[in-house]
This record gives sequence, C-alpha cells and structure tokens, in this order.
Amino acid sequence: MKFLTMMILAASHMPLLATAADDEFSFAKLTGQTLNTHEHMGVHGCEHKPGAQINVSGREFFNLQRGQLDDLSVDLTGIVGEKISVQVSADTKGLALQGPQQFELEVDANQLASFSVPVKALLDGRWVINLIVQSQTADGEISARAMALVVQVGNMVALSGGQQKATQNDAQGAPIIVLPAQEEIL
Amino acid sequence: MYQWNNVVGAAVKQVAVVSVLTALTACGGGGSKSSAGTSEPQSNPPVINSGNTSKNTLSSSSSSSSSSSSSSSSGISSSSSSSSSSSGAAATVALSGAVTYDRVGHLANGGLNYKAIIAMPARGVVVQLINAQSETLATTVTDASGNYHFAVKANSNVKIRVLAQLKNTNPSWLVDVADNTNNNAGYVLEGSLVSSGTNSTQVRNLRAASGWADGSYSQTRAAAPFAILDSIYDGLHLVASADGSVTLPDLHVRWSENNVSATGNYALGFIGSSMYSSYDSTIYVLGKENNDTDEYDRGVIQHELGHYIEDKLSRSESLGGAHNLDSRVDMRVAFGEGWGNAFSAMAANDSVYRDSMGATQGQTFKFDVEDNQGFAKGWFNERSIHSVLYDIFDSNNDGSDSVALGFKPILAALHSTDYINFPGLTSIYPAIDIIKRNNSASQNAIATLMQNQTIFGTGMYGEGETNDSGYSAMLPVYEQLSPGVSKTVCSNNHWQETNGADVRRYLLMTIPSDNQYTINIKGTSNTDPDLRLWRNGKFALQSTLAKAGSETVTKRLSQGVYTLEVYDSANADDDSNTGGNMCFSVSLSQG
Repeated sequence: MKFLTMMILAASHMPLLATAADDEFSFAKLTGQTLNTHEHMGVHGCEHKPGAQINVSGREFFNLQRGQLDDLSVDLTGIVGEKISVQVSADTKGLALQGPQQFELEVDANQLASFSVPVKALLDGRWVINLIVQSQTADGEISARAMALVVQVGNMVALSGGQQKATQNDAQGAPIIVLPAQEEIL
Repeated sequence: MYQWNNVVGAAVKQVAVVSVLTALTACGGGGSKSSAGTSEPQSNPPVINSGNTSKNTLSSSSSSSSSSSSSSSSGISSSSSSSSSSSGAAATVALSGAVTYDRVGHLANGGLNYKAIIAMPARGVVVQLINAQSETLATTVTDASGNYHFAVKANSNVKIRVLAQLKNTNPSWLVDVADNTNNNAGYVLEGSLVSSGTNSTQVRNLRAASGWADGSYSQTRAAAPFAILDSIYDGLHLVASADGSVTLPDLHVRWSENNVSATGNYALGFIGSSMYSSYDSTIYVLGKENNDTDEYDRGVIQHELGHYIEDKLSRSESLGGAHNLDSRVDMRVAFGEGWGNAFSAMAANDSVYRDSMGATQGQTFKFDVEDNQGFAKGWFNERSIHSVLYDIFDSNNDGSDSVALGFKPILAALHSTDYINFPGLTSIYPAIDIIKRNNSASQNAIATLMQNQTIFGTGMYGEGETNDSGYSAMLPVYEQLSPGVSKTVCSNNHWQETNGADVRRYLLMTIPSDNQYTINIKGTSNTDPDLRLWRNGKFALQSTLAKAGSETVTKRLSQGVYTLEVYDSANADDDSNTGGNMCFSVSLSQG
C-alpha cells in the first residue's frame, strides 16, 4: 500500500495540463490500482507470470506538453549486484526518443538502478515507452521482462492503439465487441 | 535454458540512488453454390426459423478478405414454412462450418514467427445463429475440430456469431474473454448476414485473422481472444482427462491491445503483467504491441490457468508478488509458481516455456522445466518445484527421473481432502507426501527427485528439512506451539521483501480444547510483529497493529491445529530499506 500511496503523492506535485472538466485525465485515475494490492486482495496476491524480478520503483506515468523535450527519470529495483540491460523504444507517432536506446546497468547496494530517457512529445495522446529488460543475477540466472512508462501528452484523447472497438449490445443487452471474420460461404 | 535475441551492446549508464520501493504488482450468400461441406451436420439438429422476411442482401462484416460468394439471391424471402417452390429446393438447410483462428508460433531462436501463421481450429467455443433482428436462434459449441452445425429454414437471413467463450458440460466450465478497457465487453467473431439459400446444405467457414500486416498489427486482432481460449482449452482438457467429474467455477479472461506492463488502473490497461487474480477469478493478459503481448504465448496463458486450477480445485494461499526462477520465496509462492510452470508444460506437452516481448514481439524469454539445474534449489524455489512435479508427470528420463505417473495422481493429490484440509500451508511437502502415499511403488523414485532438488524434509510438514539456503533461522519449516510454551522465531528480508523465504515463520499451534486463547508476540522496540492465523487452509484472522515491539490477540479458538504466521511489518511493506533481522518470542496461553 505504501507504493500506491507514494505514487499518488508524487503525482500530486506534478503539473496537470488538463482542465478540470477533463475528468479522465487524472493521475489518480491512471495509477489507481484496482485489484493488485495486498489490501484489495485480502490475504492472496496477484500471481504474475515468470520473468525478471525487476520493477519500476519510481514514476511510471509522465505528463508532457506537445513539443516539450524532457528527461524522464527511470528508477528500477532489482537484486543487489544484478546486471541489467534495458532496451528502450517508444510509440513513434507520439514520442521521439532523443538519446541512447540501450542501457547497461548494475543494481546497487540499495537495490536500485537508475537512468534517464530524453524524450520529445510530438502529438497529443497517451503513449508508451517500452522498457525491455534482460537481467543476470550474481548467481548467473538470466531472465527478462517488459515494463512500460506511460506518457500523457496534452489533454486526453483516444487511446493510442487506434484499434479500440466500439461496443454493441447483444440480445441480452450485454456489451460486445464485434470482430470481423474472414468468411467463406460454400 | 534461456534465449534472448536482438540484444545489442550500448552505452553504460551509472546508477543513481533514489528511494527504494519494490512494486509488488503487486484473455456467397444465398447458397448459390452447393458444395460438399467440411463436416457432417449433427444428427437431428433443431430446425431454425429465422423469422426474417426481409430481402436477402449480402452484407459482409469482414473488413478483410472474405471469399464468400456474393451472388446473392436477392429477392428471396424466407417465409415460414417454406419448402419452397416448384424448383425442389430444400425446406431445411444443414448449415455447418469450421471456425479457425490464426496461430502465430514462436521462432526456434526467439520471437513470434509471423511468416508462418497457421489456421487452427477454434475448439470448444460457443457459436450462435443470429437473425436479422439480432435475435439468437440457436446456440451450439464447436467440436474438437472447430466444427459447428445448425439446421435452419431455407431462405433465412442469418449470420454466424462466435463468442469468445469456452463452454463444456460434464466436466463443466465456462470461460469468457472480454476487454477490461472497454467495459468488459465480450469479444465475438461475426460473419455476414446472408440467406441460408435453398440447397440442402450450406457451409460457412469463419476465420479470425491475426491482424498482422506490413510488419505490425495494422488490422483488427480478431484471433487473439481465440488463441488465448485455445491454450486454456488444452489445460482444461488435461484436467478433464484426469477427473471427468470436476465442476469449475466461471473463469474470466481480460485481454486488450491496450493491456500494458505498467501498473495502475486496469480499466485503462495498466495491468502490470499477465497474471491471475483469485479475487475476481480472472486472468489478465498483456496485449500491447512492441511491449509485451501474451495471446500467442501458450506457456504464459497456461501458467496463469494453473494458478486458477490450484485456486479453484485445490487451495492456494500464495502471497503472489515478484518472483523469478531462482529466487528464494515463501514456500506458498514457490509451490504456486512451480506448479504453474509445471502445469503449463503438462498442458502444452512441451517442457519449454516461451514468453515473447519487445519490438515486433521479436524477443523471447524462455526456460525448460526439464532443466533441473538451478542456483537456489530447495523447498523455497519454484524451479525446484516445477522440476519435481514435471518429472513425476513425464515419461522422459532426464537423468535420475524414473517416474512417469502422468497427470492424474498429481491432480488427485491436490484435489484430495487430505490436501485441502491440511492444517499447514501449501508447499511441496503435502503434495509430494500424498502422491507418494497414493503411489507406493514410486515412493523411492519420487524421493530421489526431491533429493536432487535438495529438498530433504518429509511428511506433510517437511519434518527434518536441513536445507536452510544458508540462513538457519528459516528452519524448521514449522515450529510447534502449545499453551504454556514459547518459541523464538526471526523474520528477515535477506532474500527479498514481502514474499521472501525468510520473511515469515510458521508455527503449528495445537489447541487442546475449545476455549479462549491469547497469542503474544514480543520483540525489541525496533520491531513491529504482525500475525496471521490459518485453520485447515482457511484464513482465520490477522492482527497487524502498528505497535512497536509486540502484537497480542485474544480469541476463542476451537480444538485442533492452527498455523500461525509471524513476520515483521517492515519486512513485508514492499520497502526493502526498512526491516532486517527481527526476532520475536511467541507464546500461547489459555484465557
């Protein structure tokens, strides 16, 4: 719970560019964990897929104005002495990376590895910076996982995927997303 | 054991120190052509009247290449009883077809292989016959080849709708795939509204396409929900092969192309990782292109399905949280994750787990559950757990594995009353103890598998365990506590915060009679002990007061054995900057 609390506190000190009417643009909403805290889960936790035991411990959500260039600080936690290789890429429509796209790091005595990603905001929307991490522990175990930073540029617009489907209702009124079939009729 | 491609060297960046927070983050129309179908209609299918008297015009809902003939017999109306006409047309049309989805496999050296997409049958999914008024006229389920059958009145304007749902009876299950970023709307694959025609048969084959074109997902990813379901199908049929009478509660899968590995609001897609949540009986699946998509990663889906099976058919007290193959974690986490890995290999009949990620899904993290060489072998390590369980299952002798019992005895053990009502907590010990008891001829061979993973404890409670992984306070696995007795136990975060193997200590608490009892935990002033109490696998109570140096609970308890879980809050608060070795005196008294 401490993690969630600190995320929201950190967010509250950041400039919010959206208007009050833009209800969806709220860092509390972006970061509002819905199920995956121990408090919500009772005595059970969410059971994740296997992968590197690396997490983003600092901010995962950033806010930029169109045209703004900024260094996004990335703080990762891992196992002391762990060697980390991070490949960085971005949604190219909305963001342009302005620096190195690979980082070789080692987790320090405080279980931290940090770096910054210079990025320029190109288009309004919600965009993702991909962090593909390969790690090797002092024991020699090699593992990997994907992580992401979310960058909000300007006010909220449609999700960046561009393929979000409109819903219909079925005969019982339940929402459905109709996926087109390739159909062969004989 | 591990595959990673496309990694290139780059600049080294030095580390900066900031605050430490370990984030445990925490699915032709008109029948103008008569042709042999790809399948036989089911025996005596119900005759469906669409009730549609409208003009038959072909409207394809497909955005991509439909090969349907558009020689629609416009002007034909589907009047009710119809055997139409003097032309000798059929009154009833056997409408059948096959549903397939695009399967994207893995390249041998890593990454998804979009150059070898193959159409696979959508097995066990729900198919509806829909009329022009969007009414459901009939519902069926595809067979093991993806085939479906309906009987419909001739000249009826109907369409085929395939729900992203697996459904089965005896054994029973219902699995749905919906979009958590879109009001949990269920995915459906839909064909065109066209006439059933006048021939005695009509075939409508539907294919869900991957959406991959020109090096990206530039088209609708219709196959994804069905790829997820097909991996689940294999897992559920493995369970059914071992126990045909199981009844599984509904399983939900939430997949979206917006599901990304950032942690936040699930409704916006920030799910952190593909995972199983016992809270809502839901598997969340990543789908963000170029970041991490899991719909074609059988191992990932079946690993999470394994968590669901453990949760619903057996029991699970796993804390969840961060873990990797060689971490030393709480025995409940180690067992749950090791079971998930082993189950995925059993369900896929493939010992290699593959997880694609990165640009164009071109990289793969993979491991082989048959690789029995870990860095942290023991009862607290998921690699050791999956190694033992898979070796019990498989028939491959990879060195010292002379056991080949298949899945049935494993599921029987985890599904047994002995296991479910076991007073201790989930771990490798009770599972193996029951499997050994039920398969006496394999006892020695199973013991060998355990010893090869440096798991030496025996019985349901791991008595006599000597592997402390270098931290003696981790043993014994269970201390014994009874009224008038006190024990010293220590909590640490040496291995890792919150769910590390040394964070929590366990005491078997024997209650001689129904009465009121007081549990008292005392430590030094820099400690903050907390406790949880378990009875036969059920959570009984917890006390987590922010009180320095002590925690006391008075509660009426029933005769029998409880498991008391003791830890220091600073070792379980996701903040590895706090905590450390914290020792407590734990006592139990009546009154």
